[in-house]
Amino acid sequence: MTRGPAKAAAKKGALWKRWLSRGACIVAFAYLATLGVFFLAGRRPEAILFQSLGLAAMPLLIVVLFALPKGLFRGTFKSGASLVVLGVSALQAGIF
Amino acid sequence: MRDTLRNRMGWLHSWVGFVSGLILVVVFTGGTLAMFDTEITRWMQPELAVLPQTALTAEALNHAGEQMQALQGAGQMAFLSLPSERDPVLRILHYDGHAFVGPALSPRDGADLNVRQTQGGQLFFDLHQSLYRGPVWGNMVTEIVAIGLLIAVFSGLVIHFRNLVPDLLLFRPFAAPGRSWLDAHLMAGVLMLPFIIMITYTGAVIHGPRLFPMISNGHGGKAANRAGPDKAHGMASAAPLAPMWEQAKAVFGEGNIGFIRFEPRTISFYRSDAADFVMTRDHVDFSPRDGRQIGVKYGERGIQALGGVMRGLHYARWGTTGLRWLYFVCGAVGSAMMSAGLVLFVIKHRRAHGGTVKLALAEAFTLSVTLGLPVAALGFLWSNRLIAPSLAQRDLLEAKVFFLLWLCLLLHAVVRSGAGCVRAAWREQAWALAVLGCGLPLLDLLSRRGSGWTPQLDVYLAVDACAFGFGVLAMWGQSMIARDR
Amino acid sequence: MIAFVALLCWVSALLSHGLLQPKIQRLLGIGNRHGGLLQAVRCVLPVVALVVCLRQSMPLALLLWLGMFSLGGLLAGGVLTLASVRARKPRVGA
Repeated sequence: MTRGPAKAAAKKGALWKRWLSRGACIVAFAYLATLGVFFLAGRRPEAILFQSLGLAAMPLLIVVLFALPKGLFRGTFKSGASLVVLGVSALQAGIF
Repeated sequence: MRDTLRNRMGWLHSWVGFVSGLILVVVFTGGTLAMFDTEITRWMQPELAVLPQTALTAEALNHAGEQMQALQGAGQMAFLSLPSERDPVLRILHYDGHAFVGPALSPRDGADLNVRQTQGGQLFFDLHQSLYRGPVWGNMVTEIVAIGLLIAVFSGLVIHFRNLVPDLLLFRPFAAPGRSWLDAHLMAGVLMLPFIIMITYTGAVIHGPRLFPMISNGHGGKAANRAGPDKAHGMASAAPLAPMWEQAKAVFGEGNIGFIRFEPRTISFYRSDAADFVMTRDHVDFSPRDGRQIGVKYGERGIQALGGVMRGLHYARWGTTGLRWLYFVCGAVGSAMMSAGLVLFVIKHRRAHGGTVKLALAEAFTLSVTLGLPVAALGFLWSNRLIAPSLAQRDLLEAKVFFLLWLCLLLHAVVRSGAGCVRAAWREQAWALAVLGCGLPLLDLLSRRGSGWTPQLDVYLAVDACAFGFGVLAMWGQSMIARDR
Repeated sequence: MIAFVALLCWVSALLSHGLLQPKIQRLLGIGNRHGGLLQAVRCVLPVVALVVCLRQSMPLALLLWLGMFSLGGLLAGGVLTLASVRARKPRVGA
């Protein structure tokens, strides 16, 4: 009799951990993506506009990425989007 | 629970909403009160109640200028705030790390009015923008929770999208507690959506550089690297201020000068924030030696003025009293909406985690930000009238009363929640709010009796009426809890 | 005055919107009467409120229009809630 609820709780716990780790990845990704936009627009006269738009897009990006189904979410990250974002941010920050 | 879009969004909304919400209720309540920070400061300086309404005179300005020169000679950084419709006195202000404080001078002759020292409404402004934790860490936390609020709003919209329009006005107080709290949360959330998105987004943009310290932009409202007094190149400011004031008025218009800053090489007359929707810091500079106009410096123009637009929208200092009341009501309802969300969160988790320390703490934090904070705010107002006006550093003592009272209420909530009496704890704190709120007009009357109290429609009556209204609301709220629904 | 007229328009429009919703109709125990009129009020009055608000200067006009939507919604919601509580009492009593 106890196997059912215990199994459900374990499943819920696993889902909770998966969503938490997904959330952490997404927040880091969105932060870097926004930072990349800020650096790209840094020297333009309309930088202030890009910075304002970036701050609106960041929470939107977090929600959209969190809304993606599991397969599509993994695909998005495996496709190299994260590498591009990381690369742009790092390049613009003068790390390379 | 399955991994569906609705569940994912529900998880994101509830956890981001709860964790950010505990801080956001404080930020929103502080911001709501800070909408009338100047008026609250006036209420907290009852000596100003009997001051006759007079226009600023050249004599008063020159006298204030002499006092500023003395301060400048002593190496103190201060500025002179000019009388306005909201605050009819001259003020010599300096930043004490949390608020701009200093003596108030008569606009008629520049004499010291000997008002009591208080942080006044600026305590709420500091609580709102940096949680009273300074401009670096405090700003960063409020910035993070602002982004958290936007995430909670967007995910909430996805969850509720189908019923967004049909259930716009649906509130069923007779339904099960969880359902009626959800109705209240949704109704207030959707109706306040334009205000919440505008105020959160503009706030996030204003303090954006705190979250991205590696970028610099024109959004920051403060000049971070202002030069301090330069004694080596100090230039004695001997010129009277009144002729400069006349020239500054010719540039920005009558009544549009907000404050005067004294630099080693210049005296700058800044345009008032109330002068225009776009909040820029345009100023006319004069030579302190002979009062000669050096130049006029205008703030950002064109696309660069976006920062000023954001600040104008957020602070609404350009607005009429009616607009400030609109912001106040929307802010109060926004706080209530978030508190309803926090209550919903704990109701939802009572079934699975009832009796655990984690839930007791969640209940206690929810209670102490929802009711504890307004009680502490009223306690702050009470302390203003009960602490002797001439006591040294009484402004810091008032702030201590506010935070100690809030801490006591948190401890009360923790103890009562831990003992499983959370409902009684809500009632007790609601009673505290009712007593302090309903008693404030009486305290105001008694403490101003000696200084010629007269019943009239002014800031004192407005603050008293608001406190009384919130007190009555709290009394009604506790009676609703007592019904044990 | 402008704010008051805008508020009145929004309250009327949102009340009409509420009365058109099946859930609220069930709570109030009313049918879908005067549907056409309510729909017209719901569509026209927000535009009237906007036109009235536009007599103010620009950012204030927009803030006023949106602010009155929020306040009007709270008032209309309050009226509908009171009506639904009253409509429920006889049924509970019976």
